[in-house]
Amino acid sequence: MSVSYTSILWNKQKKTYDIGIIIGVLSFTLIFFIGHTVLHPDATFETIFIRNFGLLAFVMLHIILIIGPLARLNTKYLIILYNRRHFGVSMFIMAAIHGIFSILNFHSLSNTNPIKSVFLSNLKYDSIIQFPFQTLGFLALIILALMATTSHDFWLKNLGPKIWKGLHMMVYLAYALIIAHVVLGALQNETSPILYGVVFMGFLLVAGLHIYTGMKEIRADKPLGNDIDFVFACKVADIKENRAKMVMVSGERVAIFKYEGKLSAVNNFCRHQGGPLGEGKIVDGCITCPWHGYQYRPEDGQSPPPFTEKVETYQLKLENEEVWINPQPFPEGTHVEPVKINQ
Amino acid sequence: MIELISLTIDAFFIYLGIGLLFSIWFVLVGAKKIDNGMEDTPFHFKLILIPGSVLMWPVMLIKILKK
Repeated sequence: MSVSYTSILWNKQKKTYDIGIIIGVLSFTLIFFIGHTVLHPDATFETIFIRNFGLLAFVMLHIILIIGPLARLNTKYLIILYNRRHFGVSMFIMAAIHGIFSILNFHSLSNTNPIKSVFLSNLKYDSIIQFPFQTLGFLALIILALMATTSHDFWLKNLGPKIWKGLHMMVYLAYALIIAHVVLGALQNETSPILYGVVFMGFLLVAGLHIYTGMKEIRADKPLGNDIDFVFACKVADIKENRAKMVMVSGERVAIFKYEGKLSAVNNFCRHQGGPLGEGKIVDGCITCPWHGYQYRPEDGQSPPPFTEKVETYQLKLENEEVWINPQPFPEGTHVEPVKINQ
Repeated sequence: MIELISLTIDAFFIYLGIGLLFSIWFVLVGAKKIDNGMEDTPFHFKLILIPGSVLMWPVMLIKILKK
């Protein structure tokens, strides 16, 4: 939510998050090198190096893909979701190390251009067993590069939300290419079924969590009422302090927040990258998006000055312990007096 | 097929080459034309825009021309 750009708006949480990534990468690398050396004492340093960063990027990609669904199922995972952008760029760096060293190791010793060598050294594109799997990894790396290099608010603003979102949804294409890269590569080098089993389990985890949370959201998105009158949303007790309950009204997801003995409702869609505000919490009196920390005042849906983002607000009323909502939104940034809870 | 793959990769390198030249102009001059937030940005921020503008140069060029 910067007015003029800076590389990273550092805060304590982001620093802690990044230190966690560095510790994780170093620990993984240390354990992998020791384990690989013990299990395969004949392997060269280059082989272990390339495999380490390939596997590390693969594991990180799985974590990135399951963070979103996990955070929807349990808010304790929001801590990982918070700075997923840095996690994604870190994953790209690991994948790039794997890719660059693989190309240097296997394709830079002839007179052929190394990139051309990736695509031309093995022409068995019509074979499954002998398929040139490295080409799939290379294409996935290009997609990851597009995503990593545009992971800044400057690109979101200037590419426009549609192009930016489309670009970043290509992570699923990259994932499919990487799965094929790993499986086809393993077909040529591995005889143990363990690797296939682990890859399949990872795929099941990613696909299963996406399908499960998607179905859960469809059920939760059941629209309330007739879009004209106040409609029953939930009971006060259904909302945790400083958190929200999400409801679907007039085709929009609305987040009803409970804080300091009051209730306020805003549109669920963060104006930054479409993050789910209702999955965030109230921090320093402001609704804080779980994705990148963008903030909005609950009573008027406006970001505190000098920031300018704003979301629609909704009128609530309380009857006994029941929260009712008017499905018609007020324009973005309209002040609506919060409903006081009788305590 | 070999020639087709070879030509595609050559085209990719040409794309990146143009993107590199564009990115230098873009971070120094072009970005300010489309985004007021680029005024007074630190130099290291301009540097981190280079990889993205090398890859996304056609989109940004169209945006600047439309402006």
